[in-house]
Amino acid sequence: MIADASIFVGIALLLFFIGLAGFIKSKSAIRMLIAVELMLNSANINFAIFALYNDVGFVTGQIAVIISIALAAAEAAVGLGIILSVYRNHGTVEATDFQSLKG
Amino acid sequence: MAYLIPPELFELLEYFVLFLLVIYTTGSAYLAVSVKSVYHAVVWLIFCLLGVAMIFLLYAGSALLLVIQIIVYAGGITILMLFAISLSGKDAMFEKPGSGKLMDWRLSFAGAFLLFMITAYVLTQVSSVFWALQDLAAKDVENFDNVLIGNLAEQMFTTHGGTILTLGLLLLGAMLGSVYLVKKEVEDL
Repeated sequence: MIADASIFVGIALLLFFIGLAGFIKSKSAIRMLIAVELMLNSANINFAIFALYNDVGFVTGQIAVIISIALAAAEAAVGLGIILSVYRNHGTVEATDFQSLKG
Repeated sequence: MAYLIPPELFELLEYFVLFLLVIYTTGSAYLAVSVKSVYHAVVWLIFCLLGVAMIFLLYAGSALLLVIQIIVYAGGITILMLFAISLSGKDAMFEKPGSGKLMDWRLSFAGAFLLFMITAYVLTQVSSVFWALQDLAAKDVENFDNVLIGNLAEQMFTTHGGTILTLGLLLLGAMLGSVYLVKKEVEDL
């Protein structure tokens, strides 16, 4: 293998911070969800790559990625359900306009 | 044994492929959070997810993860997002300019870059100690085939059976919850 883990940790870091910057910057709830997916993917890359460096954990690492992907699917389903519900009630998907819980 | 391609050139090609993959994945991730249209953002997200799937196949040695990544992420979640955008009307397609501005775009990226550099520095300091302690070396590509899908499935339902069961319950809860969220609004109309 030509590349060692540090390159992939670097890619995961880049993806994470791109996602973080997108999350901070975005106003649309859907775009926030996209940024969260990017951050989850960076975690998945780390799981899969670090699993390679441990004989015992090789399978465990892959199972961790599968669990993470399933959790992301659940999070996206609930998140998009909430976004649709909010759109019906408020007529917008801008996260800054959701102020119903504000005291 | 005569090589069709000289080993030096082959290694160079491998680095070139890795370089292309890094540019492709991070570039499409950047575009996913920076383009104005949310539709286009989801399309760039699909490209980014495909790049991550290629990393799973080429460098983590798992074809199963590639398949799951493409089916669940690139083919499932993103389509769900496209449906949500379509159902949310015209407002959801473009972000309102200037409304509720959290932070300047350039400032947030400068901050993210600074955080990246600090974390990368800390990681290099920590990881050098980590690698020295563990005495780990990168494995050959041939070792990837040692773990078969059967072994993975067996562990999934024996060692990690409880986790998978909990995950199934959580997915069921998520599905019922999202159906309830959307259905309740329809009844109210």
